[in-house]
Amino acid sequence: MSQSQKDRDAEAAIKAAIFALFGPETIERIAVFPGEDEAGEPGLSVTIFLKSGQNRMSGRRLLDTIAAAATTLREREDYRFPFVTFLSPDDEGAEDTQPSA
Amino acid sequence: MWSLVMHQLENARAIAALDKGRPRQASLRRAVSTAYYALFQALCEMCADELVGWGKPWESFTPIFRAVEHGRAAQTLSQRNLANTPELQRIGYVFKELQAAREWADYNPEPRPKFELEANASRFTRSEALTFIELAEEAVQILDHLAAGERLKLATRLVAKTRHP
Repeated sequence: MSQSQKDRDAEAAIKAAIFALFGPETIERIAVFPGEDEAGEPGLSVTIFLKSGQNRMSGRRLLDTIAAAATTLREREDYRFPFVTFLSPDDEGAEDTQPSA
Repeated sequence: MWSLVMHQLENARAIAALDKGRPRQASLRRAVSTAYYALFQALCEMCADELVGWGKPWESFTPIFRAVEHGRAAQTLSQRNLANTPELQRIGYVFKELQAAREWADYNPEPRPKFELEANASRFTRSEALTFIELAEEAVQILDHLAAGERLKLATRLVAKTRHP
């Protein structure tokens, strides 16, 4: 199987596992990108865009999501780690720290 | 839970909530880094307690506490012959996720790579920082409730260096 096919399979499997966990009413969309972790190990970036008005995800819910994504990958003998982030349109981002001109 | 770890988590929460209105990056980065260190120090303490014991002299306790290494801990916690229970797997998942967040928080001036690909690019959010703090707390609680045999096995694997022929 080519790497791009493996990436597409991983993306589809992760999206199915996460939608099964949350249901369609919570999630706007999910973005999955292959990449590397800080040690240079292959990993997957999984960003879950929540619909507006959702409560903040708890740590336990994040852990359940990572576990669901990791389990579905391992069932496919794909041992990349899924780094999961939740983003909501209601989130309060940090201030910009670009130096002023 | 060891009081130092509990207080690290409390500090992380306080720092994440420090700024009124839009949070400073420095606050959120420090909160995430502190949450990671709470988990890391919980692992160090577990190793030293299991392999030496709190009642023993510092000269025996401290070297084992300090023997745990960040990179090797992440590798050890993801080894399938160690992480063969849901509890150990979950500790490994948290460690890996938090370690990546902490590396970025402490060392990287850029927006997080995953956000660059998206139209609504963002720095850390306060929600994410608070979730990471809870994530660390989850792992510490799992660690605290591991069976004695699992704690000893984990401590040994985190401290001992495996010789490769």
